[in-house]
Parts: sequence; C-alpha cells; structure tokens
Amino acid sequence: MIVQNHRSDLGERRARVRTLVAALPLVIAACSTFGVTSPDPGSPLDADASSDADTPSSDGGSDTEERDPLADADISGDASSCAVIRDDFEGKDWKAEPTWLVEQADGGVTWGPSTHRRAGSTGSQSLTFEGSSGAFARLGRTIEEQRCDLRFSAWLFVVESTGLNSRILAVETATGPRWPWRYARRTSRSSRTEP
Amino acid sequence: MEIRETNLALVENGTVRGEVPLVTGKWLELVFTYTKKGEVTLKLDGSETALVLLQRRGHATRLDFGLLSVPLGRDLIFFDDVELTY
Repeated sequence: MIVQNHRSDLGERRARVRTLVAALPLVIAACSTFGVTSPDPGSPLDADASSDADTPSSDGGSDTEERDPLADADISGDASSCAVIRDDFEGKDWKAEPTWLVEQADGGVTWGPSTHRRAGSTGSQSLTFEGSSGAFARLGRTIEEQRCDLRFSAWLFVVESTGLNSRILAVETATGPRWPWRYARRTSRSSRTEP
Repeated sequence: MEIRETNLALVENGTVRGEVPLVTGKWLELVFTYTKKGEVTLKLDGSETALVLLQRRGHATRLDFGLLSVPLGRDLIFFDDVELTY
C-alpha cells in the first residue's frame, strides 16, 4: 500500500514537471511581450534619431498603421507591433474623428490653412487651438495597449501665450489617478470631466 | 507638459521636473517620449533634452494634445504633422 502510494505520488510529480516544462515557452513568450526580460537597447535621448526616416502619409490626412518596432532604432523590440498614427491634417475632407477624440468648450480647435506657413512643409493645413481661461480644446487618443515606448512628435507654433501654466500635452497612465500630468483617470468619454 | 513663462516644462503632480526653452512665433519640432521604464524625454527644436525618471510608473492609456487648460489670459497655438507611436 505504501509502495503504491509512493509510486502514485511519484507519477503525479512527474506529471506536474511535464506540465511545467510544456508551459515554459508560453511563460517566456509572455515575459517578452510585456518587456519583463531584456532592457531597452535604445536610449531615450536618441529617441528622435529615426524620425527623419519616417515617411509622411502620402495621401494626406491621417494614417494609422501597424509597424514593426524593430525597424526603428528608437523603439525597443518585442515581437509585437507598435501602433503608429500619423496626421498631417491635409486633404480637403480631413476630419479629426475617428483618428482622434475631440473635446472642446467655448475656445476651439479649428482646422484650415495655416496663417504661418512652415518652411519645408509640403502641406498648407494645420490645426489651430485657441483657448482662454475656462476654455479648452484638445484632441486625444485612447491607448488600448502600450506595446512600445510611447513617442509623440509634432510641429508646434506658439503664436500667443500668457506663459502661465498652459497645458498642451498630457499622458494618462494606468497606475493611479491624476498621474503623471494631473489628469484624473477616466473610464469613458461621456463621464469625463475637466479638472 | 505645460508652457511656463518662456519654457516648455515637464510637470509631474504640479512639480516641474524638467524644461527646455520655448521660442514663440516660430515653428518648432517637438518630440516627447515616455518609455516603459518610466523615462520621459522632451526635445524641442534640437534643444537640450529634458530627461526625467518619473517617480511612479505605469503604461500609458491616453494621450491628449492641444490647449488642455489655460489658467489665465488667452493662448493660441498651432499643431502640424503629428505622429504618435505606442
């Protein structure tokens, strides 16, 4: 009886070991996907080094694609693809949505020919944000999954500013409320309130 | 990220963690990064990069740009050729 139990325990242990060994590739793959293993080889200081190589959307307007992160030096690699959204605001039928979520109140966001043409720009359109105390306008993007290091690049023209803590870019994260840019975490568009 | 006087500042919980000079009346190339390790960089028109290691970390769930708040007075800014990677 004792011998039989011992053999039975041994069999169970072997079965567990086989199960663990079989699951090992899955565990490794999961760790790689979430960046647990190797540190990023690229320095964030060089993050914009490859931006010149990026080709803007040829047909104007916005452009969303899946891109291999290993093709860019600034985005360290795992096996998944980075999400890339480009928008030059060109095209006669350009609309903010569905590429961006739009919010505005009293102030405004307007799209149209830029009053300040940028040298080297192939297009003539840009977005104008105008705001005053109590008014704001912004475009946003929900990030379903951050697969790669986040990178936001744009051309910015400050026509007029009081220089009094006007916020122009904000990133929300999943770790807690009002971090890192003093924004409350919001669960849906309809329930959002401006701080 | 906030306009603070003549600088563009990285702000975490109301505290300026880094800043670069901001020139008005001119198109400037803005590059902002937020790595999975919690490092934030800001580079403006080839200026020195402000590098910040955030005190707390997490994955990004949303990004907004534009005029998100204007405490006083009136602001007017343009954005063009935006690219977001995540």
